Amino acid sequence: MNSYKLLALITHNFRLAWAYKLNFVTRYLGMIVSVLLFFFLDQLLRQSGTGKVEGGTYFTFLLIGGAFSRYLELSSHAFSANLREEMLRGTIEPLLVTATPTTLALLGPSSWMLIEGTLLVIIQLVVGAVVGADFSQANWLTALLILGVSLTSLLSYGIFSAAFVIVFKRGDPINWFVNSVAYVFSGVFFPITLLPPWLRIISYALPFTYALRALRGALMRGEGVRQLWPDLLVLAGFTAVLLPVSFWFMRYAIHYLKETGELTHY
Amino acid sequence: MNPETPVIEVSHLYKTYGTGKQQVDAVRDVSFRVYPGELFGLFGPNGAGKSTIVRILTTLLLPTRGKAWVNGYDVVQDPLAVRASIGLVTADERSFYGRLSVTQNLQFYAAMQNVPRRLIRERIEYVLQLFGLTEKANTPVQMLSSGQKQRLNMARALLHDPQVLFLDEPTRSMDVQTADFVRGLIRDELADKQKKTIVFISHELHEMENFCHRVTILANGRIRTSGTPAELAARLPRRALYRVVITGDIPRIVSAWHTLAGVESVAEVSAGTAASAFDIALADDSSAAWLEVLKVVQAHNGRLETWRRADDESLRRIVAHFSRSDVP
Repeated sequence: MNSYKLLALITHNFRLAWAYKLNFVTRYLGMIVSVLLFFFLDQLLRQSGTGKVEGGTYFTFLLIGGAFSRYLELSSHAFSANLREEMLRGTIEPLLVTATPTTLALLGPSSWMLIEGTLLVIIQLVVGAVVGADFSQANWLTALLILGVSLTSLLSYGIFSAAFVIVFKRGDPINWFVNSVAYVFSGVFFPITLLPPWLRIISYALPFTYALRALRGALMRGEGVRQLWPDLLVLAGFTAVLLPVSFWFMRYAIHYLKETGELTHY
Repeated sequence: MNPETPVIEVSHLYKTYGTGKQQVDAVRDVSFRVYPGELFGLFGPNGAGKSTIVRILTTLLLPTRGKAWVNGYDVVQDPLAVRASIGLVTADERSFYGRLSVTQNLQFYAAMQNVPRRLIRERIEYVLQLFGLTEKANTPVQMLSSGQKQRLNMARALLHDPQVLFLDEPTRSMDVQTADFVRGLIRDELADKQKKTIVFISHELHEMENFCHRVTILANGRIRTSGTPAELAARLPRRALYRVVITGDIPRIVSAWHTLAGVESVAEVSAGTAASAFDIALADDSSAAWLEVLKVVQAHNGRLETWRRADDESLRRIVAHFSRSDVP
């Protein structure tokens, strides 16, 4: 029954996204523009004689980093953004009074955003390949596996973020953390080897660093699970800890919501 | 279900919001039962605790103390089973996805309410027809009027054919004719014909009059009284209300009325150049008190033009009486 509902949630949220057509189209256009930005940044570096990073072109490096950051932003932001929209629109109460488990009712409306995020990442990589990114050695199967494991880990941040929105309405520290700290320290736009060793400690404490490093390994150097298992193991470890904790926090937030009656407050 | 088995049972329910100086006791020791097929009215002024009780019964809120069951399911222990068997209509007409059509909105909620895929179309057609919205099936919800959105709100609550309906001021945004149509539908179709159990909340007295089978009146989070409208009327202190039209020295007659022990109140209904109309409430229904009133008119050279009994056993008086803090 829950898979039937999940499908209904995806269809419903696709319809909602499509109902705002200009916004829908500009998301895809924005993604293409960012590919061009990475391309010309790469051209600039090539002119100064530095175009190679981690065994590939800087363009490919940036393209993967940019695609992953979109994923990062979406997965951490999707739940809370959707939840807040439902609260403001007044649709959260009718949804919570349906025979749908509360957690699914609160998080499910973001399912389309996550699917679209994956679609945007794939399109970004394809457009990048057309423009000149080098995926000649890419191990796509391993890359897909890494994306799957990364998403599971990233979702916990999204669940934390949604729980914060339920309790505090605004001022979500998780989004701040992902949008600032993670961007700088996980190697989205530059290799973390450029950071001073003492700052690199922060990088190693972030799951995004491992996800991105593994993804680049698979797509730029064609590495498989045999080479990337340490990163995958760390990612799985983060997931094993963060996911249950985030669900516990979500349950607390739901309890708080029902205790205080702040469902319709925003 | 056994007619004696309550569909809704509330036992010593309490709900407190906030702590310390911010603490508000919204519901205090409330107990009641609602039986199958009953149209049960929860009535009270704003802040009486009506909506809080409904939010607890629909699992949107946790009680501070006490227990409540809907369709035999504990609202705290088994919220999913409770929600599967109820429909909620609130006065919030904006609770839809405005850009999506009426049908798209209902398709979504039908799936969320476990309506099997093969039945969704049939159920949507039925509820739209019931509330006169068939022609609006493909219209974006944001294009509907307030009254149409409120009817859609009711249609949504019936999608999964729930046994119990909670209607929290469902006619608030409707014009008089539509509200009458919807009330008729609730009483005749849903309560009398389909035998659904309905909890109807309102602070508009005329909505409850000649409508609910049983009414519970709340004030300050407590139940003040409960019963059929006729039972409640019978519990009112006996008094007699007369509407009289008199001529003569009216100011003196009225002052003399006020001095009579048996007269509870005198209210001017209309004042004319020759005759004036008054409502006179007598503390008891004895003929002696009424005769005293008549004697006063005669004594001041007045004349009683017309008179009639205008006893007020309306819910307005019932609520006014039982909401008073000095009434035990």
